[in-house]
Amino acid sequence: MIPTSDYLLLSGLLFTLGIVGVLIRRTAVLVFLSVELMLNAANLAMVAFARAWGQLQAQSAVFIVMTLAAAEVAIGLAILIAIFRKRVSTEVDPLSEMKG
Amino acid sequence: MLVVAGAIGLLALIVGSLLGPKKGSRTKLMPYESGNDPSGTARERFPVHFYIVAMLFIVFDIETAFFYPLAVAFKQFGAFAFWEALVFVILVLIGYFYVLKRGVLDWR
Amino acid sequence: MPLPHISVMLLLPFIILLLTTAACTALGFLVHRQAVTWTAMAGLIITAASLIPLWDRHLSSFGGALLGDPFGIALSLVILLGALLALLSSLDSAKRSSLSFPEYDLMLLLGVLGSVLLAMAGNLIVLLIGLEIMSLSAYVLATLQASRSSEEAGMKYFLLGAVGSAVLIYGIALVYGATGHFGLSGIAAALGHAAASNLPVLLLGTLMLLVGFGFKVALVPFHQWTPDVYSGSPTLVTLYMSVVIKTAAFAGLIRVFQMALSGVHGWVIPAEVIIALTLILGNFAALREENFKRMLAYSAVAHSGYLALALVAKSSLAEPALIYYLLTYTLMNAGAFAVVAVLQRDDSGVTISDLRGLYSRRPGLAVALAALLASLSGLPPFAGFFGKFVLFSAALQSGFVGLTVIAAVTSMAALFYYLRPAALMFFSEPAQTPQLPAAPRQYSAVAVWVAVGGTLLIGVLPNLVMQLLQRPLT
Repeated sequence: MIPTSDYLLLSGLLFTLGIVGVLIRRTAVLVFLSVELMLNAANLAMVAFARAWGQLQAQSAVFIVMTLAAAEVAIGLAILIAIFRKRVSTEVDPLSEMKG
Repeated sequence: MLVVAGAIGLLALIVGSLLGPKKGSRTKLMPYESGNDPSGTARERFPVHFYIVAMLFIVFDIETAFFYPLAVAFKQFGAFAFWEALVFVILVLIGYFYVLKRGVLDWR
Repeated sequence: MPLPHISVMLLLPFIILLLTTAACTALGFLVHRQAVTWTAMAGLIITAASLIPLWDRHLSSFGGALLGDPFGIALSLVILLGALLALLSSLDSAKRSSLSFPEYDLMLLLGVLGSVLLAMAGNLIVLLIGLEIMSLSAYVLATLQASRSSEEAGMKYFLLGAVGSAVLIYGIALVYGATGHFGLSGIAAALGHAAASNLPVLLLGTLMLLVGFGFKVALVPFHQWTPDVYSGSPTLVTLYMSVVIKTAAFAGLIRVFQMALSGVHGWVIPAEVIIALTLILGNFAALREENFKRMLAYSAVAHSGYLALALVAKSSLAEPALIYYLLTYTLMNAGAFAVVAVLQRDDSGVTISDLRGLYSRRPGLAVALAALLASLSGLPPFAGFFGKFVLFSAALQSGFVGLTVIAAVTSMAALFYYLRPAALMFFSEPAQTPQLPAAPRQYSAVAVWVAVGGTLLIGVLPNLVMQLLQRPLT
């Protein structure tokens, strides 16, 4: 059985990568991806702790964090789209005639 | 163990890049599109609409994640879980109808 | 498996808020925007009415995940008051800011729902859900106006808010890992017999929670988004953010640290450093600002510093002081931003020199704004004075002499930036500024006068509020 500390090490590494990404990236989307990495690091830590304590509570908490992450993605994309639309509003998009 | 495993991995990469032939033909450098010849560049701009649909998909997709634990524990909770889930679905539906009414889902 | 205990009484406020939001979603397609706003306001008032009978009953639901203690209920009422003032002044100001569509009310209602959930959360996961509902709707609100500054503000707020949330969630994971509990009382109970090897994890988790909340309540050095977001967002949204979000975030912060983590060793000194930095930087940065909205943003940072004194003080003293000051802060900040929303020509707000000679043009507004600024700076007849007094004395009686001295000295410095615009309004000749936008502003006027009247009333008779709060709250 893999000890909890190994999971924590991995989770800490992921979280650090996320923080470094947030600090050095200058593109909104990449900052955003780094945040997702941090959230997943937290999820991994929670699942590892849930196993260590022998409780299911934290695993259900992971579901909630996943949902929050999805909601955050949706809002983030929406804000990006709002900005993107504004900045290139004069160009007619060459693909807009394609019917889904 | 970890060090040995890492060293073997690194060694394989280094040896491979040192000894391997580096030739590229047109076919080899072509992007892989399931075996078809690629049609045009992949770096085209997609209409914003795709992003909006993708965004909505993420939301509605993740909501289903809640139904797996519910399905597992459904027998134990009985009617209470059913009504709870119904409330949840109705709330999601309100959002869905809002999206529909705002005309986000029709392609111009 | 037994079902968790559910108290319907305690759920009622949330059900009412949800139903109001659903009704407003449907109404948005059918009726004029103002009708939606009136519906939303009615919903908020009914929610407040449903909270009042819970006051002394100490209900809890879902095994302590939702707490109806006076602390949560009082702060929920403050949140509802702030939201009501935001909606009231939006009735006329929204049109001038091109924000007059039902999404403003919807997002605000959802934000209030999240805020109330945050204020009454007894469990870290519930707290997280409330915090995220609140933050996500605030990102949307900041971006709502179709202008470059609003979009930029929204993006900045979103990115930094998301980082803050991520740090906070990691903190929650670590605290859970060290104690095995998500419930606040469970954590507090587990602290006594936590294994020594878990203590570093616990401290790290606690500090991460502090940082995460630091982003949300704008404590230095996690405040950098505040001036940009406050000044870039439409003024009405800034009004909402500066009162509702701040109240709710402080409710969560104080609840977690006073109820669950006060027994953890080692976080008080970092917290003291952060508070001292917040007090110094917030107040001195505000001195240099020429834009009135940015000045109020830095003043909000400085006020986070005052409010955060409740973080380190003894809980029996800190909680009444915090609630009193948040109520005061809600009234005076909502009033000040409502005045800006009336005076501004566009949503970049007004510069301080624009206020020159305001008294001769609009005496009513000038007197109201002067009163609110005096209260913000903490001058005696107004509630800001008594609020600062109870907060400072709570910190002093808990033994934080240095911190109290810093707070007192910096609030002296704050007098300059609050009273300079006030003096300009009365004693300067009217500048060559264009006239005010000609538009109806009767509702904003009501909001402003409610705010001024409120600060005066609870400033002169602080016992109206303090008597209710002087008993064990949690």
